[in-house]
Amino acid sequence: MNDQDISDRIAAYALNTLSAEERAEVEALLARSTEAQALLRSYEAMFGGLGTLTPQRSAPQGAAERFRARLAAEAAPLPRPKRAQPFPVWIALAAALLIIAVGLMVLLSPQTDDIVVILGDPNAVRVELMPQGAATGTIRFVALPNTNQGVLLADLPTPAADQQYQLWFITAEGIRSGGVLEGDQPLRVSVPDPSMSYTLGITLEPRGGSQQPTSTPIFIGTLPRLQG
Amino acid sequence: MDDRQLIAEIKRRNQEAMVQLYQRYANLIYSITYRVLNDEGGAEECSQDVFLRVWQRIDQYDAARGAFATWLSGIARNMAIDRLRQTARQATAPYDLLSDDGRPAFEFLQDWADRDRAQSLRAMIEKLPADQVQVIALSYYGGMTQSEIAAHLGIPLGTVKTRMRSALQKLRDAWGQE
Repeated sequence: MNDQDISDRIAAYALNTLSAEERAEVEALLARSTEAQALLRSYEAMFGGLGTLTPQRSAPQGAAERFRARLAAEAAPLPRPKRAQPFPVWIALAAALLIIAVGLMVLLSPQTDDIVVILGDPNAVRVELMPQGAATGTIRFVALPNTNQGVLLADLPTPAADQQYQLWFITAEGIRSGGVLEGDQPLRVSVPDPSMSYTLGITLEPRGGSQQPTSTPIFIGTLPRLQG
Repeated sequence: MDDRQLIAEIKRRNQEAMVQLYQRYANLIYSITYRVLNDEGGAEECSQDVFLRVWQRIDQYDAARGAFATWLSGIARNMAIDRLRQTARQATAPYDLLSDDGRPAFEFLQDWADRDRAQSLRAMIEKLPADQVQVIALSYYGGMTQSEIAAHLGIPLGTVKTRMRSALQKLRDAWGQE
C-alpha cells in the first residue's frame, strides 16, 4: 500500500466502513505506526467536527425524563448474592406455619374491596405511564395519599407465555420491584416509601419476574410523594 | 458547570451531572442519530444509548485530543451507523452535509478555537463540488463503503475514490490540527 492507500484505509476505518478483515489490517498498522495513529486521530477529530455541523432537530418531549429513568436503571447497584446459610429444622417448621397463616389471611382478606376503595377515592393520586418507542396499551397507577397503598391498572398486549409485565420503583439509589402483572388483573402494590418520589417503569420480564430489570422500560411515569 | 466540571462529576458517578450533560447535548446527538436513522423512535433510543455509553466509558475521553462535543458526536455517528446496519434498513442518507432545515450545532463547542475550526469546516463544505459532498454524505450519514456508494450512484469505484480523497484532504486541512 502506498501512502494514499493507507490514508484512504484509515479514513474508512474512522468512518467505520471497513470489513472485519480490512479493520484487522488497519489495526495491525496502527499498532506499529505512530504516524498512522496521528492520522487516525486527525480523521476522528474532523469527523467529530462534521457531526457538530449536522442541522439541528429538537429531541422529543420527555426525552430527558426517559433518559433519567434509564440512567437510574443502569446505575442502580445490583443486589448482592446472599450466602447460603445452614437451615435449622425448627426455622423451616416455623416458616411453614407462617406461610399457612399468611395464606389463610390472604384468602380471608377482601383484597378486591381494597382495590375498589383505592380506585374510588376522590383524593387518590393518578399517574398515567407513557409508552416508550413502539409500545402500545395503557397503564395507570392509582395510590392513596398519606399511605403506601396503590393499584396498577393495565391494558396491554398479551405477552409471550414465558413473559410477564413487571412494575419497578426507580430512584437514584436503586430499583425495587413493585410486582408482576397477572393477565389484565389489577395489581395491588405497596409503595416502598411514600415520602419519596419515584420513576415508575414497566418492563417485560421472564415469567415470575426478575430481581432487577433485564430490559429497557416500555412504559414510564413519575409518582410524586404520597406524604411529607 | 462547564463540560470539564460535569465530566469530573460524572467520573464521581454523579447521576445529576450526567442528566445535565444529556440536557446540554441532547439536541445535538438526536440531530445526528436522526440524520442517520431517519426514524424518531430509533433516533431517541440510539441517543440514549450514546449517553449511557458515555456514562459507562467517561474515562476514555481525553480532553487533550479535542472538544467533548466532537468526541460525543463521533460516538453518536458510529453508534447510529451500527444501529442502521442492525435494522438492515436501506440507508436513506441525505446527499448533502449541510442543509437549510436547521441551524448547525457548533454553538455547543465551548472553546472558540473549536468553533473556528467548525466554521472553517463549514465554509469548506460550502465550497466543495456537489459530487464530492455527495460521497462524503453517503459515507458519513449512510455508513456506505466506497463500493456501495459506487453501486448506489452507478459510477465507477475509481471515481468514488478520487472524489472522496479530494474531499477528505480539503476537509482535514480546513479542520486543521488539534
